[in-house]
Amino acid sequence: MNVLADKITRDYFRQTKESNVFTALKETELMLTPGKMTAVMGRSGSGKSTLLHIMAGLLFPTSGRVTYDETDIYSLDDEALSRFRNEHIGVIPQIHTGLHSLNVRENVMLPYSMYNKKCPDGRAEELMERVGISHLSEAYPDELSGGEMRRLSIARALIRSPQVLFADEPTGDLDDENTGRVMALLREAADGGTAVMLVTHESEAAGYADELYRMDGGILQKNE
Amino acid sequence: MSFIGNISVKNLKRKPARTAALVMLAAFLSFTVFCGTFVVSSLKNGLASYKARLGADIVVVPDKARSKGTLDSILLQGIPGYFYMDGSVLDKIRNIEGVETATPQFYLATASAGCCSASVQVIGFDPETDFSVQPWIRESYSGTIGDGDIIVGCNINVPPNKKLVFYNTECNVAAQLSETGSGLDNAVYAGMGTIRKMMRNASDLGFDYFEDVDTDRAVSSVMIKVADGYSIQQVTDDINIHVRRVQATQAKSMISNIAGGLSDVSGIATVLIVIIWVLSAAILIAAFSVIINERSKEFAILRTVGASQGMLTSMIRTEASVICIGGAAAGVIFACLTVIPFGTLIRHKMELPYLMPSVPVILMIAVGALLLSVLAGAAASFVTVRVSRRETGLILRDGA
Repeated sequence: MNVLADKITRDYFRQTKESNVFTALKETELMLTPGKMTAVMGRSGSGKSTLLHIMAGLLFPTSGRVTYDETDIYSLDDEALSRFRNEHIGVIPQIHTGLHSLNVRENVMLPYSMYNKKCPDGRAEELMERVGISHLSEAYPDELSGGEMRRLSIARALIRSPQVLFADEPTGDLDDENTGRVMALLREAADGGTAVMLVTHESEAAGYADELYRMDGGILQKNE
Repeated sequence: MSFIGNISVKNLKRKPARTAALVMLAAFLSFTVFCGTFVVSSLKNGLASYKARLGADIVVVPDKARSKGTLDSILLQGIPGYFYMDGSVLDKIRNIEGVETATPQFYLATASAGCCSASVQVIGFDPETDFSVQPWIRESYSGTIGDGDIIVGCNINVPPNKKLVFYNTECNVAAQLSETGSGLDNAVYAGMGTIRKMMRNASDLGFDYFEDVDTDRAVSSVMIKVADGYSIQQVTDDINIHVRRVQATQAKSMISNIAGGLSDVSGIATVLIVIIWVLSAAILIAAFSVIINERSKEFAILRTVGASQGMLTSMIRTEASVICIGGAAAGVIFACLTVIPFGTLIRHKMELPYLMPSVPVILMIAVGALLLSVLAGAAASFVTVRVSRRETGLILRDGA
């Protein structure tokens, strides 16, 4: 599935002496293609997470559109867009959290249980094993460390084998060993045909990418 | 169970202290609404029943009745009492213009002694002229009340042989009346012949109730019906002017004293219910808002994996409903266990006629209390649903 960000921008309300509007993302175009990992690097506040959220259908662009093949996702109503996200998109958010009332295994299987779909046998266990949290399957989120929570998010994002995967600083609080594990998983997803977008400030993680972009002051530029 | 139902229940179970606090708040709300409404309704019922049974336009008692236990305390609170005047007042009253019917009543307090089965109030009436007692006795008993027969209020214990003895006068219990919620429930009713016999025996036994009044001529009160076209106030004034050493009072004013007291109680209860409802709703709204804000990251995660706004709304509403319905039901049950068994105690403390509503009315009050609690929860969830409608990307950005 090709994902195209077509001339998207995003303004936020922010009161300053000059203006009440802060443009976090200036007119941007970006294409994600199946089988490729696209990395966007940049400093904090450069607009890279805003770009990721807009492309994942989580934040309305001020202008422009986002299409998945022929589907303009922001023309869908909330019900349809949510369903679309559940079926085709995986998101690894930057925040560390899970649903506190569900244990790790239930959190990982959430994208299936939410629409009463059956998770393929052994899929959750396999992913938990690969990210190194299988021994925590009965634990609850408030019993996990930041790194364990991060790995829970990764397993949850991958559980439905999404066609498009967005990862926002997925290795931010992981040690070298776990960073290697996670990046191998993302690379594997891309090699399996998933379009992967990675937002990171770590050059090591960016080393796994097929295409590299740099974001600065809301402007996206390709690293040749 | 659906995903929403399942996760909502798990959310509530995972935070037992928070859930318990909210359930208790909802329970307190329904408890207050139920108890307040129930007590006010019981007082209104009691007043209606008392009014129906008094039946007269004017009540005449001896002057000294004020110091020897008033008519109110006998009829409302069931405190045994007695006061007497000479029967000659009856003829004087009947001669007053505008008096259509005048019938005597006799009050005799029985003793806690071997001569009496129980310490109760005996109310006697003249079957020939009575219009006050017999009409509602007939609602429970249609037979004739012969010499030696008595009718007893619902709180009187009747032995299996249906015989009660008062001042060594053996009486046959012909019927037991339904509840009025007033002192009349603790009374025994007898025809004039029977009560005169009791009065004579009491006097012979040395009970000095009658002072210088002949027991065969003594009457306690006179109930009066005023003829059409005459002013009740005017007739009352005429009696007070022309008949010495009696006090004539409009029955309406006796009722209006009670109604005034009832109105005060009812007004206070209503204000308290409104204040408690508003406070509880505000606390529920504040509590839900804090909880939803706390959980905004969880909601953002749900959105990233495909939950729609509708699903989040359903989740919040389901949790609010479980809390409010569960809490309200617990509150109503606890309220029933409080106000129904302690009805007699409440009546004594209130010193007003108090008659519990019928089962269908109790059910209606329970449903109303439940609805008010659920409404407070609905208001809380309505406000918090709006809080939860922030764009997911903004929550993820701010929460990162």
